[in-house]
Amino acid sequence: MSVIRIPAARMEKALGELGWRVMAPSGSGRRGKYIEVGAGGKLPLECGDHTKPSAPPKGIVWPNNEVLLSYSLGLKGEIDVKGADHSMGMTVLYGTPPCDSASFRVLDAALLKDMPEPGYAAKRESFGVIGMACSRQDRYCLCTSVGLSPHSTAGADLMVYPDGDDLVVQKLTGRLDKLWAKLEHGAARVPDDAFKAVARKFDFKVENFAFDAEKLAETLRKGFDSPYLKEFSERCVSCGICTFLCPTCHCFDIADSAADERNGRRVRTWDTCQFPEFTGETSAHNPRRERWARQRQRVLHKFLYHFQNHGHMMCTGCGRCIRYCPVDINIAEGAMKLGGMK
Amino acid sequence: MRDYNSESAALRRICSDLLEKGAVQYIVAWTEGEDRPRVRETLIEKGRADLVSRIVWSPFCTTSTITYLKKNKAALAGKKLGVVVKDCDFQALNVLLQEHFLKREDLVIIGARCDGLADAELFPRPKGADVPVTSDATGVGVGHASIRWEDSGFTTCLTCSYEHMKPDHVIGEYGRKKGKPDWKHLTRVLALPPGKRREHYAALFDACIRCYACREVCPVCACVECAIDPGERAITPRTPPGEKACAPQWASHERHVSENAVYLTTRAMHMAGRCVRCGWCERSCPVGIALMDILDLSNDAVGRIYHYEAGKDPADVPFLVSYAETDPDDKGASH
Repeated sequence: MSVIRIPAARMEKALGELGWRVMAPSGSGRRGKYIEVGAGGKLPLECGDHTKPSAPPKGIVWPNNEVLLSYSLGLKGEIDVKGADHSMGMTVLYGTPPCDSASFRVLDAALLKDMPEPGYAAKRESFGVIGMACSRQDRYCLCTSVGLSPHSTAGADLMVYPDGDDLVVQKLTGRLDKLWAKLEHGAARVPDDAFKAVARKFDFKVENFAFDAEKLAETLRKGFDSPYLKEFSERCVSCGICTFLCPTCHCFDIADSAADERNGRRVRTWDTCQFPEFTGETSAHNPRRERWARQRQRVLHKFLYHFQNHGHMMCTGCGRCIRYCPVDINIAEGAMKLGGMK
Repeated sequence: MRDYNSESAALRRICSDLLEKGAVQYIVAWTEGEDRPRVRETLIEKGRADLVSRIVWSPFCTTSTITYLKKNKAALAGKKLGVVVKDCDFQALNVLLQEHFLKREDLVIIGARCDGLADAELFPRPKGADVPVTSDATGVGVGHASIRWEDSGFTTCLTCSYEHMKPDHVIGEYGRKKGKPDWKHLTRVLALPPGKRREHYAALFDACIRCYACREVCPVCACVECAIDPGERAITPRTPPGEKACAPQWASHERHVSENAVYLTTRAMHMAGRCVRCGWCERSCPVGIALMDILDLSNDAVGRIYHYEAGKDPADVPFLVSYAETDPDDKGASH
């Protein structure tokens, strides 16, 4: 295993030399945001609920507004269609908590396997994640219930463990080798025992919701027709908060937007299973007209369907959907009750 | 000093009575959830003593029972309902009654006099059921923890002046002098030079992710089909294809500053004389947009120029459908 110890300033220096675009959480909650850290900007030194913005980082590679093509109709009737360039300059995400890092494992599974989605694939090519072990939970965190932990490395290319004034850095993939080469040069290797001792500091149990999601998935199927679904969703207002703030939700809508009679573009935006029209068909039939059917889709997609298809939970336990729900709809409580675990 | 545990107990007695005597078929009330002191709106029918025992009234009843009625309108149509409201919910209810969205005779209104709301997240989860929840003129307390009203996270409550609630049953007494609408935040924004003001609003519009939470939580946003990006279209299997194809698209799906501006300003205009300044949209916004900076542009005009107070009385004529030849123009000049 490749693990090194470096002074914290060295990471800033190495990233600065590479000239990559660095995105990092700034602030927390509704006022927080993943923003670009400019040249010489300070990188976050630790992570936890106090550094977790309400909006997740998925928008960097899966934007809420993405032009897919633009078209124009010439005066002689010639049609010109231009595809969009989806590439982006090399970008790294720094200091994400494990729940946000793990979101890229989920997005990769959904958008790269079998039939890669061109826009996402192009951006993902030049995108790396430097995750950070988490030191502070809030009352809605549930990472340890969904098979992750405050120090899990899923989705990260490099993992950083803050240790005093130093950073212990673990290499997980070859995606950020250029950075790793700079960090590794002359740095002290960390032996296995010492690394375990560092990682142990972040080995706290998050006990807000005591369930094991993999066991839950086994029983959730029985909840498909549960009468509890109506109680669970009766106060749902059908807004997009739970899904738009979810680091792994990736449903979208495509619509043409005409600038005038001859020009326009086709745009992809986020969409959500919680909007009534999401499953609306042109015949006016809507298989999920009722809120309980839409909430069922959300719970089962997070805790059952994705797990069946990809072997890991689609929920990464960040707790945003619970914390920011205007009407206190709690997906963990709902999943446990649907699965008969509560 | 108000003691919300005993006020809740009184509320539970009223609700239980109404249900047992058959005065109502259902009660919509706030109950304690799993994340105390946070509460949730709940529909309670006769025989659900387990739910009645969880009914609660406190400054953490920040959600709107009227939104619950709005969202469950079809299921509750024609039912005799008891509904627990605080002052701003009562105002919102008045707006819906004025517009004949609900019928007064279907409702038994239980009004809780409100001194202001507080963000439940600012308090640790109370341990045990009997932890006192209190408030006085200065702030809110849960057990040993307390915060001042100014820090409660609810700016609209500080300037709430509504005290005309006429419910069928009433809970509590005001323990704090009501405020006056002040437009300090708006005055500050409007005093900016035009370029800076534009920047201020552009930043608000730019942050919007179009989750439509502001529209959905709003107790008086009641259109079946919203003009902006309808969440639900009023189509049936019999709607002709031509009509569906020609549905006007007032704002595109695109999420950028100008399209977001169309959404947010259209909503503000539509809310003129209807917005009761409960502030739930602003505190629901997941990306912290200062929505009252937008909504208060029309609220201010409605109050200052037309001297109209939204939702003051159920018998009032709705602002946007009333007209008099003596109405001042939009600069406030009389004719």
